[in-house]
Amino acid sequence: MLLVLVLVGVTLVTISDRNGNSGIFARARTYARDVANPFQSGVHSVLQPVGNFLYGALNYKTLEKQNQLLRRQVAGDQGAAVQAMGEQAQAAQVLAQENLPYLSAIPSVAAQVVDLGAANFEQTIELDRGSANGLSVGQPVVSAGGLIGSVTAVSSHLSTVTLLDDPSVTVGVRVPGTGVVGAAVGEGEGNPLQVEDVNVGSHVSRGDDLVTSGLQLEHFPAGIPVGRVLSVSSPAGALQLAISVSPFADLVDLQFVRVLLWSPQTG
Amino acid sequence: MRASWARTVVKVALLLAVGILLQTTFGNDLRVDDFAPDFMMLLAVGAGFVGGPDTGAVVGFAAGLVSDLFLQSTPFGLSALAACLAGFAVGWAGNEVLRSRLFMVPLVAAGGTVLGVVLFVVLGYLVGQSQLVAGGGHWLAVLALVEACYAALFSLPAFVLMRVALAGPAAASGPLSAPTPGGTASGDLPNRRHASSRARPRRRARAGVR
Repeated sequence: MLLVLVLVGVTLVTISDRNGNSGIFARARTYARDVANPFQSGVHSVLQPVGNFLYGALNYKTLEKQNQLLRRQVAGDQGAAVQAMGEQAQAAQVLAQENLPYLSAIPSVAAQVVDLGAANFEQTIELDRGSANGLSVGQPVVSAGGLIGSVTAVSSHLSTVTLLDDPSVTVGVRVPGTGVVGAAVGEGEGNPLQVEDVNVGSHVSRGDDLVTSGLQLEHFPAGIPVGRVLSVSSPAGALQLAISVSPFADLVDLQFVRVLLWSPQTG
Repeated sequence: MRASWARTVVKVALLLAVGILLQTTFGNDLRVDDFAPDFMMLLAVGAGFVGGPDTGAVVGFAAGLVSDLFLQSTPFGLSALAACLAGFAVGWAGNEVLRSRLFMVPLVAAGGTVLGVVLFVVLGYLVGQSQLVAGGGHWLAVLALVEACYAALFSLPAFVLMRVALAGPAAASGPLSAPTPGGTASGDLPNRRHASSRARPRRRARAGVR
């Protein structure tokens, strides 16, 4: 019995691995989400008070820190608002100089984050918009800070977004104003992104901002802010720089996001 | 006989459906340091503990398949393989090693869940899912620890529910087999009177060896 099940399992894994995000298993996953969605909503609404209480109890220190942080942020927001207006004007100028498309030129759908992903090995969030709202797999998702990930599964009224820090995500990035391009790869929740494929000697330094490169075959349009370079080092004997990047967007406390109705094919 | 099997299948299917609903809703609220419990792996381990190796493998495979339906970045069938092997291993160890004691339930649940996590990561890595180990050894150790604690915490209700669901022919071969439809319980979870009657000959046997 065990041997038969193992053989079936290996066969399923092999077929699924070859099909990627398409094929019968992707359709089965979409169908399962559609079927489960109303039941999940019901269970969630019933158990939410208990869940909130337990979450508060289990994450008391984190919530306390967040509370303190928010108090400091509110205190600093008044002064920052004036500064932000100036920075926004500067950012618009930089984008114009770089001939980058404004994100407002790309149609988008606002969505609310309704849940975290169910698994420990995936950095995902669930949105309350699905294929009925025009969403499809592969579309980029942004928040106020910048790129947060892309849609990796869609059912009729729900979609799953895999976040930038998921190790399976790779984003083509470049430093505006230079010809430096690379690939930012997720390293798990809370860890900075690592940029690969940047040769030693390239002009990248700490504090540089990175945007999506938008090169051919890229999954994201050009010019979406991705993150800021935290550190650049050149390991002995290495041909490529080791670059750490902190994402602009807060990937932990997401509430509302915007899905860009964009694909590499349609632009 | 066939009707009894059908009833068992329906009950196990319902239990797995409840498990995945709790996993995808309530489980997220129980995250500690961003690690959530794995109720489906717990049910697989419970099936092995209650029903024996074959039942553990079959129910574990089904539980894993249900889990796979709600995952995105890992191949379909990977959780099924891991849960199948974990359920089988717990069932096998239950025959050979474990004793029919209530206090073993949380220990078995914790150990079986850790085994399931390790199998998931190792098998995934073998088929090219290198992102599963990207968090590093410390991250995996914390994950396994948190999941083990949650498995121990929820083990008793999960195992009792699995025992009720497996009542019938599916549980006939296990060390803590479920009560038959006729009402005869062959396990001690939670039928402790029966456990003591089973334990006595074992003690005599040990004394005899000495």
